[in-house]
Amino acid sequence: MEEFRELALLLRNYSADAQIQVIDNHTIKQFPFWETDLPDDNINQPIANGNELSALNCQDKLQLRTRFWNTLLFLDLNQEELSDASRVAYLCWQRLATLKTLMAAGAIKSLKEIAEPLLQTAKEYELTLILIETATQLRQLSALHDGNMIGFDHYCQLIGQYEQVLKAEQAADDEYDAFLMEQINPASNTDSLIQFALNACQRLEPYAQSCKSASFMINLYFLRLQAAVLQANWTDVVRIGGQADRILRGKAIVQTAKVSAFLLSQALGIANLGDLKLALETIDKAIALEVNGSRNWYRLQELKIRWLLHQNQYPAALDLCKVLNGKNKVGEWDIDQKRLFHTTLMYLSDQKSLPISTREKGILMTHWIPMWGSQLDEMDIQNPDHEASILLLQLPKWVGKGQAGALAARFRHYLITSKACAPQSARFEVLIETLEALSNTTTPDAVIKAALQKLQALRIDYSAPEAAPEILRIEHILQMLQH
Amino acid sequence: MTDLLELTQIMDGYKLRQIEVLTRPLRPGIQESRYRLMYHALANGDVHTEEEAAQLLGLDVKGRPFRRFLLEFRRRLYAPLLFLDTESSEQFNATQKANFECLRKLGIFQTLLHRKCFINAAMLAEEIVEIAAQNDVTLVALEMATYLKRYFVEQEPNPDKYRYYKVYVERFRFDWEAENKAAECYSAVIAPAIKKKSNQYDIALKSKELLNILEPYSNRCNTILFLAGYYGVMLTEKMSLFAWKKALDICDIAIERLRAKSCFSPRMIGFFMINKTTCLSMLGQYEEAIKLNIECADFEVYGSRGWFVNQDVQVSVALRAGEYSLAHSVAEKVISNPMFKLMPKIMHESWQILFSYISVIQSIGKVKLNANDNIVFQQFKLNKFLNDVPTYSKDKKGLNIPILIVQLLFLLHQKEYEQAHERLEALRKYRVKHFRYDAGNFRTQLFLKAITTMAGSAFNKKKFIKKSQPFIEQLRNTPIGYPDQHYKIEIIPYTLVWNWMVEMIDQ
Repeated sequence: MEEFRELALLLRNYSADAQIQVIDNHTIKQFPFWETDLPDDNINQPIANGNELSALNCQDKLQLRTRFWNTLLFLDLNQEELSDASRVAYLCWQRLATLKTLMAAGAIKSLKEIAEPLLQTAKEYELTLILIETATQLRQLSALHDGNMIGFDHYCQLIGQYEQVLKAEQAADDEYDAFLMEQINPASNTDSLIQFALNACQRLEPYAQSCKSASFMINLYFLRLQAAVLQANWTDVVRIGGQADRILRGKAIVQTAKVSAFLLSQALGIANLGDLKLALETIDKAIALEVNGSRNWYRLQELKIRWLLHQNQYPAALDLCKVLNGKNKVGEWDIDQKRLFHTTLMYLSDQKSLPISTREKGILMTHWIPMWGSQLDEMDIQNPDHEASILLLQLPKWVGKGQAGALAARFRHYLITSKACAPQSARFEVLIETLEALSNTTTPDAVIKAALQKLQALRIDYSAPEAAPEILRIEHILQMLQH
Repeated sequence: MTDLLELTQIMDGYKLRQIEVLTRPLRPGIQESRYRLMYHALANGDVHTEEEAAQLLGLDVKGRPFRRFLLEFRRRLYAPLLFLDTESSEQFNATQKANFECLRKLGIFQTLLHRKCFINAAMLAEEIVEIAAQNDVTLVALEMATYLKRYFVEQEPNPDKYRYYKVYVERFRFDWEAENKAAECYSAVIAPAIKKKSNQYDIALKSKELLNILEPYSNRCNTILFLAGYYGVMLTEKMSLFAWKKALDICDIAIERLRAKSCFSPRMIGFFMINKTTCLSMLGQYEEAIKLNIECADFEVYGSRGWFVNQDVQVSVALRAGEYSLAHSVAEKVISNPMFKLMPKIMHESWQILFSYISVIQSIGKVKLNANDNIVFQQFKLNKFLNDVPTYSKDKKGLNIPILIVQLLFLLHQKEYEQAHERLEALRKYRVKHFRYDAGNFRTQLFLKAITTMAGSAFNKKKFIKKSQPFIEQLRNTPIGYPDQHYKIEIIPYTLVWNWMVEMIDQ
């Protein structure tokens, strides 16, 4: 019991109790938004809401946040530590913090009890920095406390081995961050980004021979994938995305958001190769890895709605929209995106392509862009891609009013000003030519037929899904015009 | 508000009601959990053994339920340990407090991160990265800066902040590497000296070699841990060469550099101060050594390993300086500390040797004690002592020397001349076997030569004085810090021990 006594005496000597400000079963009743007498079937639901939290003053908020943060350290007491891989990483970090605290407080008896299992877990789960830090403590313990040279040499060797892994991981981290930074650099372009990614991969190649840790592989595959995406080499994109997914799924701990990002790229690649059905299946896998209601979750769901619409699965798209409108755990659906998709579904309803109940219409009309306004400026749309999407929906109206030429000019202006639309420009060129032809023709059906034929040869490019204005395909709109 | 809402998503009433803080006081009349009962029993000293612990719970000590309980109990102790109350203790300065806070926040930060509370993680990281940087908590600073570097390019793109944290990450990576290298090098030169004090020249060579590795870092890294390790290796080199003056100068430089920092660790400064006292005592500057010793006695956390090491040096210096009351009172403080039993065996051996000398001093009346002073030392048993120092007994040119000397002192004091005679014969052979004239330990060699004459003098005081006098004269002319012997070997100056032996012989 000696090591327990050591810990108990340390806690008693430096009485921690007053410091431990948490929300526990002693204090829970002080917080009005944590009701404790809920029926059993509700107790797993979060029961705080924004109103109760908003009522707190600044000081209370700070204190509450500190309490919440502290509580996190006690939250997993009744959980099986290794039952959930995602929990392992932060529990290991918590242990490391405890280990270093004990070292700083000079309580050495318990150190080994914590350090040895921590080292094994860190090794198993590829937590390189934790592994090195723990081995460092054990090395010091062997050297200074026991004079154990065998132990000392063993830990030195282990640390040396993992220092190389850490170097590789850090190099890959830096390359990844630098690439992301380059992406938002206004001076960069597709070619420069391709070169940047390829160079980064080349620099990481020497490490790739020996380092296979999850952290390293994620960044390396991300850069490889980016190079392939930017080169529009969709076969490679699908291949690299698939490889990364397989490698990472075999790892004990991986940030699911990263796997989801690879799945997204893979789905985009598959979509660009023309198999939207398989792309939808892949995107579903990615969505399953994201936190319900997070920004990424919404982003992927929006993509899914687009693809459902492109496959003419309108009722499924409507159902998904309704899900996104429902309350979600983390965040709310972006209002602009919501308006855009609601408007599209309302358009489909107006066109009799999608039967919508009055109740559903009511939901959609809470956030939409009424399209009876003759001027787009009145519709308060800031995003040029959204504007192009709405213009596309308005196409029958403009053509009906004999303003096809004016609409063509709007699209021409959009093509010039919006760089984001570049991958779609060929399809929009066809649309513009069609609109111009429609303004001077007496045989619109023939013009539309010719346009549809041309469009058939020009696939939609899904590489920049958010920027693509074709929420409904141009073909769909032109066919509406035909009818 | 988003930050608080983010947190409420990962907690619910059910989970919160399971939370139990072991250190909360027991509430009368309320049935407390087994874990809290056990914690309080341990903290109050009601439970010392596994049998007692199992009995408290009504479990079989060898049964699986008890083993499972211990496993779970240990896990429940970890979280409160991150909340050590450093505020109300004078033992911790601002830097140490920041260190504990940073470690606690590191645990929280990683939990937030892996539970996908990214807003809170970023808030906490921005809050703590500067504190960690200012207080040289490099690992924490590195983790926070690494996250923020990624955050400001991935989650909330901001080129300025990205570049700011990129510079930080590079700096902290360098510092972290430098600290680890310094710790490795220091451990590498200290480890061989833990069980042996007779391999000093090898250590000096090793230290010199390792300093070359640390040199490239020394211009750019100025963290507490690096400085401690770097100067620690430098100091070890000089002390292994028994260059006390040079070692003292290094202590001064290290202390100056550590004090010049905006954050400072009393523990690390204390480390160099305590070594300085050793150097001073080896240079014969006892008054200054004792004064400095008292100044840095409590720089370490009370009851920690470092604290016991400091007390060891305190007692050693006091014994060398003839301050026996001081040595005795410090040793009493050590032996009565509940944490002492938990210290490593090798540390116990070192203390056993010191205790043995204090016992001799007590026995021969060189220190006057009050009636209520601990009698632990008076109950000293020679055979038990010899069994308690198995490692150092093997350190033939090192700490076995004071063990043999104290053994002889006891035998002489108890008038066990027959046994003393055998010991002296053995000592003579021991000297011939283990010491060549030019192989260091000059003072020890002289002393052994002097006292082994006792056997040939048939314990006759006059004869012994006459035969040993030339060696003792030579000893008197050789300073205690003569540069060829580990400072822990000559616990009491040999000339004094010789005087005591002379006094012990009847005629």
